[in-house]
Amino acid sequence: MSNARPERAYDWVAAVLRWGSYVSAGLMLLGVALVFFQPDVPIQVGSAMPLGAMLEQLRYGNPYAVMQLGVVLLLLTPLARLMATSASFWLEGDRRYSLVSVAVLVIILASLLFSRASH
Amino acid sequence: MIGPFLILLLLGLFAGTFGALVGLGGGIILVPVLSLWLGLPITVAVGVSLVCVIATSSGAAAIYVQQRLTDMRLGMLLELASSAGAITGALIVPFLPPALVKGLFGAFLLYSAVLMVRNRVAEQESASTTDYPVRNYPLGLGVSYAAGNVSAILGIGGGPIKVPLMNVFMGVPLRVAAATSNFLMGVTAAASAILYYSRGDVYVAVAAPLCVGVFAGAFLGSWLAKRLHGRWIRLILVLVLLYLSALMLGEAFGFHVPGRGR
Repeated sequence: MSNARPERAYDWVAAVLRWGSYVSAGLMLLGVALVFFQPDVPIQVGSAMPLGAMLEQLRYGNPYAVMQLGVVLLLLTPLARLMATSASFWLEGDRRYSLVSVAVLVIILASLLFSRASH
Repeated sequence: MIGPFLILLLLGLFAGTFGALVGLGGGIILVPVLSLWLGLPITVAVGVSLVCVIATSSGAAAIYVQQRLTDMRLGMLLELASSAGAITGALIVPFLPPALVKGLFGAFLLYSAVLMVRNRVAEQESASTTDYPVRNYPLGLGVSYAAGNVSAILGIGGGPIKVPLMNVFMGVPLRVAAATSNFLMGVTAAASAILYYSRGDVYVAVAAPLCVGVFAGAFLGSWLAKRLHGRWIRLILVLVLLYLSALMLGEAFGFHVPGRGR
């Protein structure tokens, strides 16, 4: 196997990981800071709210909705990284490795659908 | 109201700093503390820890990829197996007795402590980080599947399994093995964390301050690493791991842990 480093793939993946972690960490920090400035908001320890409710609560500046958006973006960052890997390897002409990333993405999404269907 | 957030921020800071200092993910400290002292169900402690694993992995992996240290092709192949293992682990974990999960975690903590005492297994470092023959693919895929399984059940990144695997058994230089392990850790943790999240086992109010603390701790740890004596850090962490291991194994066998949260 070649250990050569395809430049475009490395640049894309680094950018996705860097921005994904910065933005999600920034949102989580903002949510925590909002709790500090709004001490009257009751602590919400428990499962995450449904995504529709989260988007609705974001309009009111609910700190927990802001934190949840950060957590959701963090969970999506590795999936975005898989898409970036797949697209960049495809453009580099390395179709086999591009399909490996697609396969990982399909496995993860299929397991999520299976898990939701079984609940 | 802000007291619990401060505690979680500090806990994340502690776990992130130690993780960066000795090259372990924060999960190994977070899961026992969340489960034993904050009284969270073990599945929630694991789900929250996996989110923190993604946070540390993504931040560190971005740097390693930028430095061209990561072997992306090897990482992509191994994450095919580790993701499948992680999903299997996340699907079976609701059916495992909590005492068994705690017992497994206690045993893993003990393994990590022993690994740290023995210090870096049999490091095989080669001069080049780009020119090396990778061998033993079937073994690598099999162990990656198992590492994904362990990661999903225990809420850890699995570096102590994957780095020796790549370095000793697959012929990958140590620095590349560490960077590649980090690279596939994020996808592996996400594969199971998404399932924990969809089951309601990720408490956002716990995960967010912890992740912020872990992020800050990772920066602090890498800054301190150049200024502190590695031997003492290692000794302190071995003692912490042995202590947490005794507590987790004690809980698994039905003993009461002093100060345990309810």
